[in-house]
Amino acid sequence: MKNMKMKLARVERDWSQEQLAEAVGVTRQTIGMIEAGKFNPSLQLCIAICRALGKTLNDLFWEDTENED
Amino acid sequence: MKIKKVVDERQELELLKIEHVVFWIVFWGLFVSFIVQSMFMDVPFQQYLPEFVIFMVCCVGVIVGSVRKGQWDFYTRPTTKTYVITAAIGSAAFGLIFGVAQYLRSDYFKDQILMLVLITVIMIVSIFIAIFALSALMGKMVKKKREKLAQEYSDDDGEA
Repeated sequence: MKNMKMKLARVERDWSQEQLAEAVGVTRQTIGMIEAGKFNPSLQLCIAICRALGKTLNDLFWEDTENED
Repeated sequence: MKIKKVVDERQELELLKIEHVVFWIVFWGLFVSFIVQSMFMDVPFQQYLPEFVIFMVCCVGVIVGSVRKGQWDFYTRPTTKTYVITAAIGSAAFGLIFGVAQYLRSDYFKDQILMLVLITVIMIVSIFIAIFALSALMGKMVKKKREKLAQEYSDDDGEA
């Protein structure tokens, strides 16, 4: 499943994938694959991404179920 | 001097997956090479000794590494049923290869089929017992290690 929340948060900051990758110490491809839902990052990397983008884990990685508000 | 990794976690995971697949290809390749040379060809043991040694190092490495970390297998659990199935498949495959190889290589066995069947059955039973015993021993050690890990990281301090 694509991670649009993470992509939006990055675009809001006007950051490229390359800039986010550099901020968290991974490659641009890894950021691209996380956003495309092709790679599940470790909790450590999730936290690093949240810190870099000034968001919480809930903001970027929590998926609401259909029945929830 | 410690060499610093320059890959991120995704790249590391993908490299590990590639190395995993290649390792098992090489492992079974060595096994097939060893079987073909020892059973179907009149090759002296010295000729395939290096392959045999490398194959045994792989076997021992996987067993020791798995036991140390309390790991068993991707697809099965260390139960008696697993040991029996593993031993049955391994011994049947080995028995089939042994029987066919002996039939093809020996004129004596071409005339004495019953003798060949008897020797093959003895081989199958021996291999079955050996694989079952080794699997059961390894399973017991893995379970012991898992129990030790569970106790080490348990939050039930002081509880029985």
